[in-house]
Amino acid sequence: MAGFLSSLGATANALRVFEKALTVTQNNVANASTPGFAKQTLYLEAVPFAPDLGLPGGVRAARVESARQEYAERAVQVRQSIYSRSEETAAALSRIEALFDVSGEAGLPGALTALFTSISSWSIAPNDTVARQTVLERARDLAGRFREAAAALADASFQTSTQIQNTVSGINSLVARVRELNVLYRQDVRNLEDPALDARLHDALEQLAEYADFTALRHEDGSVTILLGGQTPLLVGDQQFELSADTSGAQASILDAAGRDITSQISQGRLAAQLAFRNQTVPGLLAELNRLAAAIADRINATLEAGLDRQGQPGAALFAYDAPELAAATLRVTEIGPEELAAATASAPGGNGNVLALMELAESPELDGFSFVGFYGTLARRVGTLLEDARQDSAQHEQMLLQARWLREQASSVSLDEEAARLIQFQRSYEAAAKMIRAIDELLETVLGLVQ
Amino acid sequence: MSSAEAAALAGAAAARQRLDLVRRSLLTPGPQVLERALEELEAAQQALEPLASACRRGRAEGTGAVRETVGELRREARWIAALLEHAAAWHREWACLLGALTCGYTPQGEPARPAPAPSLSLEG
Repeated sequence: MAGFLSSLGATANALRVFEKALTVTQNNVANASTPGFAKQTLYLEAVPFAPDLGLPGGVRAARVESARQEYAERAVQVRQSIYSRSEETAAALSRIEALFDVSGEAGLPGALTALFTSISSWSIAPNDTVARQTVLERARDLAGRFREAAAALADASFQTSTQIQNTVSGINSLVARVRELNVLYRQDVRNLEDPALDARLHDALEQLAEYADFTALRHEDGSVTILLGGQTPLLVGDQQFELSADTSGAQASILDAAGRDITSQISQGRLAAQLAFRNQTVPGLLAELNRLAAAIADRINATLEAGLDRQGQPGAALFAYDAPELAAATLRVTEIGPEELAAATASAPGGNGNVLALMELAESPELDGFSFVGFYGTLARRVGTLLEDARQDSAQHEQMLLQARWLREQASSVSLDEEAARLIQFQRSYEAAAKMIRAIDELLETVLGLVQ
Repeated sequence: MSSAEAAALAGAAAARQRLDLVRRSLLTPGPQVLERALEELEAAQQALEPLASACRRGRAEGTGAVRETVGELRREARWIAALLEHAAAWHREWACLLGALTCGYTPQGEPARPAPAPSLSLEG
């Protein structure tokens, strides 16, 4: 009789196991398309069989364990942060690419070329009022182009400031979502077995990785601690520490809940790209644009002031600007009239010696060994190179993110035994493929060496 | 363009196709994919030989088309190398974690390496 009862008990156990297994399967099916969901596996335990001692044997359901490997999740988050940074960098640079036109026909270089062309025409007829008036118009056009370029960069900076504020706000709301999950996990330990909650948690963390790099520590009670850049706590248990952004100054900064500047801790994600663009790229380009504007104004003014105008008076300045650091934004033509443009040198009144000196400025190395147009070309090339590099990076990191996602899926579906057996095979294959790629790269390097 | 140069460039184009295939396949670096990638890489290397020979003989010297093709091939090869390195690092680090989880640590304090279960087969 005891044996029969034990047998019934074992059967009942087995039925409960199968019921639970069905639940797990249903969860897997129902959540197959839920973002962040990982397949769950039911682990079974053998129950000792000893009827005399009332031990019925059979199997029982062990805890429902998420097959998700935190390791694989972390790898995807890291890749997501790196990819988002490069993607955001490429997008930001694309917005200013049009400002740095290198065709020489439009924009700033076109206006600069047009000014020197008008000076060239003036050299043929140094006392011609129309030629003088044309020089003034071209100078006004050039100053206007500088102001437009400076305003466009300032606008790019302003837009990026808004993006930084939005990103910080996005980080805070995602952390708030994880905080809600922390509360649920702490309220009831059974929530740890809820695959929908698990999916929500990992989905929120993956979205957070788009914005910034962080470390997420999962505790035994299921709650997650989030540290921005691995250092600044954003969430501990049910306590959230909100970030804020200060974009009012020349440098945008990110502040922790205590108001400390933690900008330097953010190295990946969209926020890192936005900060780099706002704090380094745009100010760097604007500084170079200011140098160019100031150099053009100073050199042309100095040449004109060294000559004589139509009345034989010392020449007047053509350009003015407020300060070297605002040269591009404030460049303008002075109140000078056409008659006051100094065409002649002091040694040859009535001639065109000074106009010829002005013409020489077009080709002479005035800035870092480059002509004005040449210097602008280096600036435009820098933007082009940065953009091309960012696009290449973005494409490559996107592939590595896709690969990391696939590896995560594998980690969710491959058993540990299978994984262990595969590792050695993987290692050999990787080594062999890497060796082959090195050989191809060397071959290509040889070819490149031969054709250069 | 001589026929040798044309053949060299055709070989380079074929190599590029193979490298492109390998790069795409490495987005899902399973064991079979890696096996096939090895074969494709070997074939790509062979397809590049005529180009290397032509360059050694000076026939493709200085041509823009060759430089451009080789530049693209190198970029493709480097992307493949990055994908291989990423996947290999993923498995290497996972092996370390797996070792620590299942086998503990070595006396030196490093994660023990998981070993596949030994298998024995008898024939005859």
